[in-house]
Amino acid sequence: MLSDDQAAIERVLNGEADAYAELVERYQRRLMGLLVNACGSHHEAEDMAQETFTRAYRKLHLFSGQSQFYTWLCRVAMNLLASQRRRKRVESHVPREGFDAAMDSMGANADAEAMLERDEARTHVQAAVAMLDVERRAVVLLRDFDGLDYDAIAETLEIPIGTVRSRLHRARLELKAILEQRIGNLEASG
Amino acid sequence: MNELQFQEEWLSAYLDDELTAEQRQVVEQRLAVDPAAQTMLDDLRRVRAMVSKLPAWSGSELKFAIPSDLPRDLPNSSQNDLADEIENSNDFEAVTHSMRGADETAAWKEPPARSLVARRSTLTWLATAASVLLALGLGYFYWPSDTLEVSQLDRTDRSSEKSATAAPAGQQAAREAELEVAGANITDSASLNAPSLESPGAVDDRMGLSPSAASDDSINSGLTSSVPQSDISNIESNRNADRSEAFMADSMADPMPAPRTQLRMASPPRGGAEESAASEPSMNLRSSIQPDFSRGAEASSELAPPASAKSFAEGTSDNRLQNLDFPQPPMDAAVLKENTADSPTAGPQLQFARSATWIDTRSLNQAAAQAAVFFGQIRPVFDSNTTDSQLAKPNDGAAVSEVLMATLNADQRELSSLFDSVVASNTLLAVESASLTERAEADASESVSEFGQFVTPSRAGQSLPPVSSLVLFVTREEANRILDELKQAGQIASPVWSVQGSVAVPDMSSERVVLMLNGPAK
Repeated sequence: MLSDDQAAIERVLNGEADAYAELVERYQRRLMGLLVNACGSHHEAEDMAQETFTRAYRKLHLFSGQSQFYTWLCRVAMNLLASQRRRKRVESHVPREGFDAAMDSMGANADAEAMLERDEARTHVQAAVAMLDVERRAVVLLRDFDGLDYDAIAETLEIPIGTVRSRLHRARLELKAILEQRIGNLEASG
Repeated sequence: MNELQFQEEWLSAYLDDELTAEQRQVVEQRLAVDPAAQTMLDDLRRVRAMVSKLPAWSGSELKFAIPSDLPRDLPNSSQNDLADEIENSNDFEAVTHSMRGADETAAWKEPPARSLVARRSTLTWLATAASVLLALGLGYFYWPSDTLEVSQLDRTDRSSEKSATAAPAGQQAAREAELEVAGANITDSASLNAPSLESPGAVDDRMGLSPSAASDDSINSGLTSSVPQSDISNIESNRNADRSEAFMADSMADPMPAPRTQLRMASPPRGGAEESAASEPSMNLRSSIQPDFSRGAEASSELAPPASAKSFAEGTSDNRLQNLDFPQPPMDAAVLKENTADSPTAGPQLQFARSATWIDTRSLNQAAAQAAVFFGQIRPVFDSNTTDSQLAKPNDGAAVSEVLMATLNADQRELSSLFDSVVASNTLLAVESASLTERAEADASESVSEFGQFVTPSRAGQSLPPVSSLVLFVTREEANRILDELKQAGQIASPVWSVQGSVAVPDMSSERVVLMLNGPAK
């Protein structure tokens, strides 16, 4: 029996383009949540989500059905994220300098201002995540924010599961170090 | 029976319930006796909780829409195969690697590792060119004078000491003669254009050009106008023009009494670079050059293909080049003209073209590009606790101040052995492997840069794929030692490029250099 995702995909592949809207509707919020935290900017995340869905649509015939559709969608999104990082490298080679750079990477001024008005600790966590290297950022968000298991992360990022494990551990340690620098002892803050 | 050894990263996996029963047991045993491990586990748990509490998307309007007329890609077309490979691959390099076959007809085949930049797509070339421009632009005006003190690399003494014991004197001398490389003797544009410097002949001498090449009209015309005279003094002062600057070919060998013309500094310092060059041995091997960062990759494609050292040497007036046995492109006056005559920025390009009379300009280009990339993107993983926040704080802590590059005769196995020995000696390094797929499967390190994988000492002993290039973050002394040893083993097949720059790395206790050792072209 086909899953709901697979059924919708079959319909799209059979020419019923509107069926894709079901998939978009089903996963857009989850994907947006991931991308907002991965990009640090709502606008950027929206653009990236749109691009992700568009690319996924165009490449839908490549989806084998052996993984979850969302996992596959994440892979497209993470590849876009990596591509975007490369583009940004071209645009600017100014090294990141702590919190300022992190806030820069969080997006437009309006986003940053809105963010600062929110819970301070959460802002620091977002800033800390934004400071991670994109590979670490992806793995920690896929695991701790999105709840994917290691197998799914490995499949999404196309890396060995051992790399998922080590990268995730390092990402968490780096987050810990950044957060302790920003907000002091995590035990007290948490 | 193999007893499992506790690994720190298992703590995260333990937290996520992603361990085998045996691994879980090992972790629990460790937690029972190690308060530090328990503390770390608690911290990891808190971090995980904090990330999990990041806000989900709460926007009210999501407007993702796929146009009904948006075409889907057709399956099984060759075009799609490539696009899909890219889109579905997380390994950018692996994809570009597979695309590289089309380049095999090119007359110039780069060493696999040396062409880190060249073998990427046009977009990446543009990226590199942009980073080169930015790196040079910043470094050009803001490098502190310390970073311009580039002639402090002095392997001479050590080389002399070692040569006394490591090899017969004659053999050593012959080897060093082979390795002796004339530095590209090019100066900054301000100096070249300064009318008060010296006669045109003197300028030509500084170029290291043969008289015939130097007298070419196009060369001389290119010297005249790109920098307003009123700006010259400013440029010179900004650049500490009396110092040896930026980019130079460096010989591995003990200094020979080089022709005077090669030793002249770009801007004869008030007070005396010439004297300095004559009196300080290491200066003999150095000269200043301002590479053409404004053209970068494009320039290399215009330059002549490499020719044998013999043909190149025959075209020069410098006896020191006669014994070179590494590829050098012949750069005749025609090529110079092509590179200088019609350019709107003739000054820098002229310098660049002139450098080609001495050295392999493709290597020069790539060395410059790679170095700029390194300076712009160095993110060494010093240990698992080093964070990005600890990196890249300008003027804070020690610095990576120089990139040295050499091509080795060593094959991949030998490079891998070198890698093992360096890792064993606790040197931090990056490694570019020949097979990125294998590299990923080896799971030996964590990628922090698309230009290479950085490996920590703790990874020593783990299996690695064949290594085609090593990038070492080492002290200057250690770099000298490694280069000396390689030189004595006859492993160095190219000039050693030296590119100056500065990347502050606070965690380092002493200044480091980047030593990039590339495998040979096959």
